[in-house]
Amino acid sequence: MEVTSDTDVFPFVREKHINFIIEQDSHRSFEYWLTEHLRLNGLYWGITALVTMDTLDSLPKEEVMDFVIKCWDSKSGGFGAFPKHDGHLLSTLSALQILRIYDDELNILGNRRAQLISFIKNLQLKDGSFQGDRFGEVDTRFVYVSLSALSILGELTPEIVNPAVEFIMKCQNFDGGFGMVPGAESHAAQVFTCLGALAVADSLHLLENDTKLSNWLSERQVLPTGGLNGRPEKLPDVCYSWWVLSSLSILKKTHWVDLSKLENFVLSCQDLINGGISDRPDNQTDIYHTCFGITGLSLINHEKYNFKPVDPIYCMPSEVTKHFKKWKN
Amino acid sequence: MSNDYNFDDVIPVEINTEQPQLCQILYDDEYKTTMGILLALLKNEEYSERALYITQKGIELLASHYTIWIYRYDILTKLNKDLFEELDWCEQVALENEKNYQIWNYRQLIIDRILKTSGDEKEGSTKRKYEPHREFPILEAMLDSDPKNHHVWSYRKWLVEKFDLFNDPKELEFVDKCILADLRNNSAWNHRYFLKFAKVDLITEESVKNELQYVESLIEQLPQNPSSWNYLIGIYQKQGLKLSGLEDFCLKFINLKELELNDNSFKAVKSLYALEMLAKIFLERKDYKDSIKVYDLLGTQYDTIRSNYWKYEKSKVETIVGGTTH
Repeated sequence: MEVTSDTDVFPFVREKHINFIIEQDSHRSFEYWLTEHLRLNGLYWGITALVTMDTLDSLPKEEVMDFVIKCWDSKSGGFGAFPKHDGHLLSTLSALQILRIYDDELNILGNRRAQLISFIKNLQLKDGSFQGDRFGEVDTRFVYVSLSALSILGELTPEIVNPAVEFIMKCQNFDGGFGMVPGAESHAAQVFTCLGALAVADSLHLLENDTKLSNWLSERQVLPTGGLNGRPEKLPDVCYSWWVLSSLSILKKTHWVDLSKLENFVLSCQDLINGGISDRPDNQTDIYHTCFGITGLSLINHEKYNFKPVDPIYCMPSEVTKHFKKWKN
Repeated sequence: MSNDYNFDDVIPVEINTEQPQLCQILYDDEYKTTMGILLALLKNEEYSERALYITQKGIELLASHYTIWIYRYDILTKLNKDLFEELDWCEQVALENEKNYQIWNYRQLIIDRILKTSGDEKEGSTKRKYEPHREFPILEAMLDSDPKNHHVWSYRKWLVEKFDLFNDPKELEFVDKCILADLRNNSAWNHRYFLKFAKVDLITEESVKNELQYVESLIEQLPQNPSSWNYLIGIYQKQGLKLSGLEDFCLKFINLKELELNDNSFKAVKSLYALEMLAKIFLERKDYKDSIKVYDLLGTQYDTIRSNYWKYEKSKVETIVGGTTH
């Protein structure tokens, strides 16, 4: 395995990453159409990476917003991943995040707003969980996505929040982590969604004395690379520089991992020639890992890279989220 | 595109002509034709054999397109198709799309529907009954190929809950086999914990004793294994057992004498988890000085990358000491 020593640090190739992200959308390959079901998420990842690097105007605002609105599915009331797709919670949050980065008031939603709110609220089940769409898949991701989206819309109410928090707390495991549903294996990305949901619901006090969770998160750092993994005995992956570090950040414990080793790991996963970041050194780059590599670096040290600070709860620029309404009981 | 069905009367939805240029995609022709027909039939709410066929084509091309799955489910139920055949078909798709998770949710829907519709039948019905063990071969094949597949394990958990397989000998045998095949398979350990401890009425003094013996023997085989230690500590916490009960066990992995004599000896410690547990045991019996000493060793010698965590644990003990002496 390649080891990056402290004296051999890669430079951050900002301009190349910007090009890589812009090229994504003119990159019309076979692989690209396979990701149609993730297109709106992909757009969010690209825009989040750009806005973090403080260069949002690298993509044409009007075209982006126009595309997002075209993904609106008037039948369900939610946003689909692509025009003519069914509405789904995951793409609905991406749509709202993108629109909100451009437009404080979300005026562009117009009379779609009311339908959107009831689309989200109607997906909540009796036990407080949410299904992703009428297809019925339940996952703690969807709880986070719903609370985050309703928070962006300023529409959180105790009827929604209280049972959701109760459900989230049932998903904590014997090892301190959280899984997709009660009893499912702990996974760092699910930990992020659960912590994020609790944070949006202003319920972090439920984990006040929980060092077991922070400890589990800090154990995700893998030597010798310094990268983070998502579960015990799995390989490190750049995306966990976001899922794990944002979780530790929400718990105010980022110093429980070695940040400079992690930083070097992320930098070593860049494609220094074509831009973009991959899961591990020398692998194929993609927009997902590029986004979470860059937002991870922002959590580590945004000043050093002239980045905008990222809000660990919403994965959006802090300057955008500072006016969001978290639920106060 | 197909000899089986005729779609001449369908005007395919034009894929990707009206979108903004930003997200233009160059589709290949097969994809364009299939999806165009599929979306057209969906729009017309056509529930027919040929529609069922086209969803199969669509899923073969792009299994993660969730709209197709919903449509397929609606067609199946409206045409009253044989759902057991559908389960067989699903298995093929699962094997060809290992990373896909829509399929497991879809499979749950099908099984739920089988149960619901067979319940509607009158007594003495010859209708085929669903038997949950029919899932075992496909799940085993999937987990053989990726023993940590999150979605497959999650589906397995659903199956256990749905059919109360917590105490099922075949299920227990399976999870045991997974653990023994790879002691570091955290997914398998998690599943075992679920089988053994999710249902309170299944927990007995005897079962707890057995599980402790089981996990301890496997820790002895591989002392530096987070999964088995988490399992062990999980049981202690769940049952409210005193940690001091683990002292002798921990000392199997730590040479206390050498630890004190030779500060840099990694030979003295075969398991950091045992060392951490020792610090907690010392704390539990108010042996604060030794607890602090062990945390120091962890932070400065044995696990320096997490020195801040160990400092934090140490400071908690120091606070207690400060509180008791003043």
